[in-house]
Amino acid sequence: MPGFASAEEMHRYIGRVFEDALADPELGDKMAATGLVLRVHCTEPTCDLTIDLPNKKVIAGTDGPAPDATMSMSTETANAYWQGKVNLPFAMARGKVKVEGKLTKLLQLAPMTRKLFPVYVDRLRADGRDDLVVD
Amino acid sequence: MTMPTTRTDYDPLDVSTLAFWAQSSDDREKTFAELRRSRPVSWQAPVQSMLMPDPDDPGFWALTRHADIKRVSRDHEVFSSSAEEYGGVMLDLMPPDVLEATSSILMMDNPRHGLIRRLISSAFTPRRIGLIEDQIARQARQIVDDLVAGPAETDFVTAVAARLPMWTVSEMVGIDEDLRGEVTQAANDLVSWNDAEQIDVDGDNLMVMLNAMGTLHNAAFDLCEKRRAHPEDDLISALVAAEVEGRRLTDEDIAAFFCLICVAGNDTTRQTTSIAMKALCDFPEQREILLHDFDGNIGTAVDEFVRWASPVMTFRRTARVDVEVGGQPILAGDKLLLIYPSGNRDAAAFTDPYRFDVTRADNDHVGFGGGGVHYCLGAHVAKVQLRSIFRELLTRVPDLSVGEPEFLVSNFIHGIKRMPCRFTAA
Repeated sequence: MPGFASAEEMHRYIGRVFEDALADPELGDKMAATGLVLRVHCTEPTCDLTIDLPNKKVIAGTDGPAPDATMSMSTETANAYWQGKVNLPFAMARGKVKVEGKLTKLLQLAPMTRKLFPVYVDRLRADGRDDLVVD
Repeated sequence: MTMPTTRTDYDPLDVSTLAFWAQSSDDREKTFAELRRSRPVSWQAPVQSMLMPDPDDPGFWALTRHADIKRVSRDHEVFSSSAEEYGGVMLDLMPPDVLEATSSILMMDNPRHGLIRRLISSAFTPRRIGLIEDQIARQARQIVDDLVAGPAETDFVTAVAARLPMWTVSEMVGIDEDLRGEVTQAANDLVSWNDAEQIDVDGDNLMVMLNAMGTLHNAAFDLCEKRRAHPEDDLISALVAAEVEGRRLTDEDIAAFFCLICVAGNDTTRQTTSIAMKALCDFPEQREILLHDFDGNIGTAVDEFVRWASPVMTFRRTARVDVEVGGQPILAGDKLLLIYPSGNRDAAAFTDPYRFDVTRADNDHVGFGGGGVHYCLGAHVAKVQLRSIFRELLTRVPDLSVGEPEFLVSNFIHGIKRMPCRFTAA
């Protein structure tokens, strides 16, 4: 499965999907209400996103407030996740996703974030990035 | 497309709260009896969840009549069980990823349900079922050996009821001896969200479940790899080799099924064993009838144990389209709760439903579900377990008696946490 070629690509696509979620009238306030700061740490290549949910800010890199929860995975897994191709418990058991901190409140949002999967795929296609779309 | 029902004139007989489910089963039955009589399909307030409250939950329809439970159970085209599309069959909301990783066929619709169920069923050959039956009989003997060798006053759940189910699962699946303790603990953790003693107000019970899932998934993945390389005479070897219409089970399919049998095969038989033992002590004449001709009566007795216990109290379905149930219009997207203990006390289906009768004939109980494609896959194994453990208990420990049980507070499992028992030491 394809991953991102650079940190900039990861920030553009994964960062954008969190921005979409936070801008969503239904989802945004619920995500903010968790009060959590989430760090997405990726490998291959190494890159980070910090998502300050209460302030609805997505920060490229590790600047910003300290995270309450960190999810670590390859950029390949991150890309597949937002296309609905990764089952989180299975990926955790396989060691593909590692989680530290308060995951529960984030998992509670998982049913709602599913509606962003087609949006994510549409954006990849609109950018001519069919190479990143997982069949 | 219509929107799901959003009315807020909830039925005054409220079955959505934990307080309702904290009552005794007799008190709950008073409410169900009135609902069956006057409002068999009632609109209920959003469930009071122990796991992750859903602010968008509009409420649900409570189905209390035997006939309606069976009808909805059998119409799987209209009433969905899908985790992916409708969040599965639990009344409480759970993350779909978690459901998919643990519930296998329980929360799938056709055509996937049919394919995976056929693949799993193909592993249960008559020879394998024979092996499982022998294994259960041996385990039941050992459990009662241990009981009579121990103190004459003990906890029935720990000493008897809780032991058989996970032992059966571990040995049937092929879990290595040195991993069985860890796997059993994880299986128990996975069902512990029902237990008010373990509920964390911050919802961290979900983390307990996730860790338990990780243990079970890892055990399953590891076993799949080993048995694919070196098959043995166990269920996992049969599952990795199973093939239907050119399709095989993935390791993830097998891991999810393993979690399902750890939950569905664990709590259910345990609770039925405890509740049936209590019933046999409460109605000693029924115990005498059973013991008088054990082989002649245990077949009907086991069905009566399951009807009486109704260990799974609720599963839900979600309507795919606008439909009518028991005269009540249901809109697409509405949730329907099948209340099995209520169906199992419905006088329209059972003569003298409040009588515990080990010889009850034509016992069309819904304790294994209301029929149709989701009928309990483990019903046969459960019946063999109950038959085996009660054969040992009643014939070898004839004066075994139990005291007052301590019940679990749950809208899902009818469970006994602790129940003292005593007998005369040999």
